[in-house]
Amino acid sequence: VLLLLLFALFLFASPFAGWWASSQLPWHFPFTLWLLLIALVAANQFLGRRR
Amino acid sequence: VTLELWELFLAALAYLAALFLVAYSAERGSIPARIVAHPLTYTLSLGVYATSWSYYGSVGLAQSGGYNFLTIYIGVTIAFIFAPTLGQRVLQITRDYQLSSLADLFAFRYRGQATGSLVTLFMLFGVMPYIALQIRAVAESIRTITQEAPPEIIALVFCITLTVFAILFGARHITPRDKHEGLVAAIAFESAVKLIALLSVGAFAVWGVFGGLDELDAWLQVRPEALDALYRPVIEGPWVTLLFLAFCAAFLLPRQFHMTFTENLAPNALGTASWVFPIYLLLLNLPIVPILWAGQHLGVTTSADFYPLGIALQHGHGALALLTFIGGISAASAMVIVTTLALGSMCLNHLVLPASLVSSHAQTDLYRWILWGKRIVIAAIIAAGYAFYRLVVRDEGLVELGLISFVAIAQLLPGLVGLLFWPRANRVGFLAGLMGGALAWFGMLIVPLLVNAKVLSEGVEVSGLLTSEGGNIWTAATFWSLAANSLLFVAGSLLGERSAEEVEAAEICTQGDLKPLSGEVTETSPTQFQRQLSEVMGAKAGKAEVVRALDELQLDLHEERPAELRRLRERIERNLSGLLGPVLAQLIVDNRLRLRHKSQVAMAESIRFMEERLEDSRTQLRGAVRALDDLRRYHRDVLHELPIGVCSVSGGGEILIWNSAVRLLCGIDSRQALGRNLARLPSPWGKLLADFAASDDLHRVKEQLRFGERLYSFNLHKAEIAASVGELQEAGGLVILVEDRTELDTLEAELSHAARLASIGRFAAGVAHEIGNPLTGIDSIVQNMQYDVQNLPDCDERHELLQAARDVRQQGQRIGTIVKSLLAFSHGETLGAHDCEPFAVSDCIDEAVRLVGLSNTGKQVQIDVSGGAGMILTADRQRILQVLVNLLSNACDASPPGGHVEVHCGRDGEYLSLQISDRGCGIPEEQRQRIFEPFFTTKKVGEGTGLGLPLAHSIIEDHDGQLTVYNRADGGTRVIVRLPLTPPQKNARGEIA
Repeated sequence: VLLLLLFALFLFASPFAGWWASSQLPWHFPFTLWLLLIALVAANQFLGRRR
Repeated sequence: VTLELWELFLAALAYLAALFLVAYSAERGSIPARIVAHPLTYTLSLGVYATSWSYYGSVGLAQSGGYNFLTIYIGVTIAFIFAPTLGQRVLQITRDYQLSSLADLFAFRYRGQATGSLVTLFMLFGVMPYIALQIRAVAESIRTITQEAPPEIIALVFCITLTVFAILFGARHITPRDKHEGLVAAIAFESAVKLIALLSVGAFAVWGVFGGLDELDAWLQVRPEALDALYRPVIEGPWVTLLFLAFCAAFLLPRQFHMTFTENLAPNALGTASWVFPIYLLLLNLPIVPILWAGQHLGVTTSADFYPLGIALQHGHGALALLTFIGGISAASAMVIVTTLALGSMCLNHLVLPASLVSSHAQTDLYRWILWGKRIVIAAIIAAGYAFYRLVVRDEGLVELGLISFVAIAQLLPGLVGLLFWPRANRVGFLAGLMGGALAWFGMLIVPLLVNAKVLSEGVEVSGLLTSEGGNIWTAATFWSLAANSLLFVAGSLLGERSAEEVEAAEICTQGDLKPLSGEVTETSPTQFQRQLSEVMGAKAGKAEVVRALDELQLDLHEERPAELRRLRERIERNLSGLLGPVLAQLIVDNRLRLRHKSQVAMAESIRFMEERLEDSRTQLRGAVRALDDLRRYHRDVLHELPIGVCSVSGGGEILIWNSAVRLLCGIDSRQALGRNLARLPSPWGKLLADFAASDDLHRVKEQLRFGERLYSFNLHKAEIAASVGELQEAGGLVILVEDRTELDTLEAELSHAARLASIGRFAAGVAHEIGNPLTGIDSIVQNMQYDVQNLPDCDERHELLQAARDVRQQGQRIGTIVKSLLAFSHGETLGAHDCEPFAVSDCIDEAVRLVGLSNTGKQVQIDVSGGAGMILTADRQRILQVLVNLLSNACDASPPGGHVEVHCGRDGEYLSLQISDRGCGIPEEQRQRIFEPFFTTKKVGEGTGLGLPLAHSIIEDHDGQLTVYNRADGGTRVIVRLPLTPPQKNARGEIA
């Protein structure tokens, strides 16, 4: 869970966020990042259940 | 295109009625429970997060703040990473202690009425801009569509309608504490409606306005500044602040807390919600950007907040505009309904009830009082929201109003962190921090609002003082309010003292339940509980609460075990917490159901508690602790499954262990026995075990107890338990073993019988040998006499002599047969196949009757034979004759002179059934048990040997038959012989093939 939190902060509350905001990326890029985070949370949830 | 006001009103009313129908159907069970309690339904119900702000305001924020609008949802996604862990812990606490709101949760942890009241007041003020936002969004959306309607009137009608529906959804029944399945289903339905509506508008924007995704891309190629306007604010705007505010709001908004924890129908659904809810939010936000660009592309004249309506109207798409309007109504109504229910519960428990319950009369029906109180509070909150909208809200955007509430909500974060992680945190720190943060929030965000609305003529420009040049007001307000809050919280907690209740609550919140229930309730029965509670809650509520708690604990009104009464008290307090809040619940229970605190913890309760805790935390155990727990479980199972009754009692006589064998032996369930005093067990066990426990004996053998007609026999053993086992060191006491030896006694009796038979057999062999020799001599002599008489001239005397000689020989043969039987009996021989031959049963009976008729008693009794004609039996005829003679002789001996003996022969399937009945005096029960024992006789000395029936029994068993003796109901005895008509085939060893 902590790793997920750190990854989420890296995506959205770090210099990386400044980079993707200034890189002229397609309009749906933030949604893609968001979806990636959701996928990781879901994977963590499934793996946790299996354990 | 425009729509008429009445059309919109009817559409909104029809939609709300449909919503109510969904709720009603769910409550009535028309919608299957598995759907209502499904994790997806639960997740959709969390969609109450998306209000008019998300529905309309996001487009406005996207225009002014670019992608900053996404922070409000990405922040929630990050917060929901913790849903399966921290969220689950909060859920556990709220469920265990029946805490139905944020104020309840904080009042439980930071004990005191002041905590609950302050949180409630702050939430009430903090959320008011948010409610005003919903009212304004609906009013503005109607004005956008109709172009004419005065928004104040529309807002008033909307508020009145919502008040009615909020009461219908959440305050319809006199069971205010129960979960509202209907509300969950309705809010899930609303979430689905607004998602569909917004996706429809988004699809219309892309394909209806631009003509497709490629065309949208082409439009962006021409207008690169549109994309830049989205991305630039991420760097320049309050991106991280908004993320943080949304992170806080995810669980701390009253409506989110209500739907996530209070209305949770399936605890495990939080895991699913951790990723499905973010997907819902992502889908909801996907159309925002295309809608914004479509509005800009079309040059829609409305405020950007209402582009979803504007583009549909500008394109002349009335149906889509109506669907969008319904989606907006859905978003606003869900928020207002759930928020007012959550705030209503807080206000009732922490503002209204504490002030009024003191003066309430015992005759008051508390449930009805609470219901009406809740209804009035709901109406008052919506009215306050309307007043705020009319008096304060002017030209602020929807998002600005929402963010004011978000900053207010964030003030609860330090308290929540302290609740979950910092046991040292206390009430003083929490109250100081909250007041400090609230003051900063009020000064920086509310005062400017009031000045702008001219409610205040002029205000101190606190926000200006605290906002750095070029800084953002939201970042400054969040930072300064939380800084003040956190500092005061930490300082107050470090300097202030914690009460005993706070220490206990801190342990529960940070580490879970750690201690068993201590103390002993002064009331000694549930009826006394009812009487005590009725004095403060009214008779109806007092009785209902006790009955409810008894049902939940599966106890009855006659419960008297101290440990169970202590649990009952605890359960009542928790249930009352769900009804009145934790502070009032504790106050009532402490005052009415007093505890004797000097009493030590009930040992049964301690053991039960420790078992439960270990079970709950089993998945968290690791290494040596896990191995120790495995060992403990193994020992417990061994003790539990031991085939000997084990009962351990504390020094005070309280039963602590009651294993399955003793449960079966005594027929007393563990639930009934554990915690009870040994002497108070149901009769006869209570007296037997308590006497034994109190005695100096370490063992008692063959203690006999009668159950029904059967006598049972038990061995009792006991040993003292050394008092040196950690938390149970005061346990001491005894372990008592109860061994059922009834079967063992039966086996011993059979063994003794067999030994006796063997001894008799040896004796009989000797006797037979001694009789056999003279008998052979007598037979030879009589045979010689027979030859001699045959040579005499034919005369009557000769015939009589010959008949006498034949009779003597026949009786001799009979003696020979008996001797042979005795030998067979003594040597344990079994019937050989070669001894069996078919013979007519009636002939055998007639012969037996004739032989018995020769005896003195036989001559005095009339023997009536019936049945048996034509029946053929394959058996050893001589032995069967011996049996019949024996049984008939006994029957004649038992019959009075001139009496009748009835012999009835018949067929019973594959068996011959022979009944010999007399009308004698019968056989006493204790003698009947022994009649097949050799040499047991009730006849006078010299009249019977006691071998007849044992031999008969042995012969019939040899033939695989049964011989049973009954006392007739109308007097006398009936002997029933059952013999197989054809004996089963046996092998050389005499075993049945």
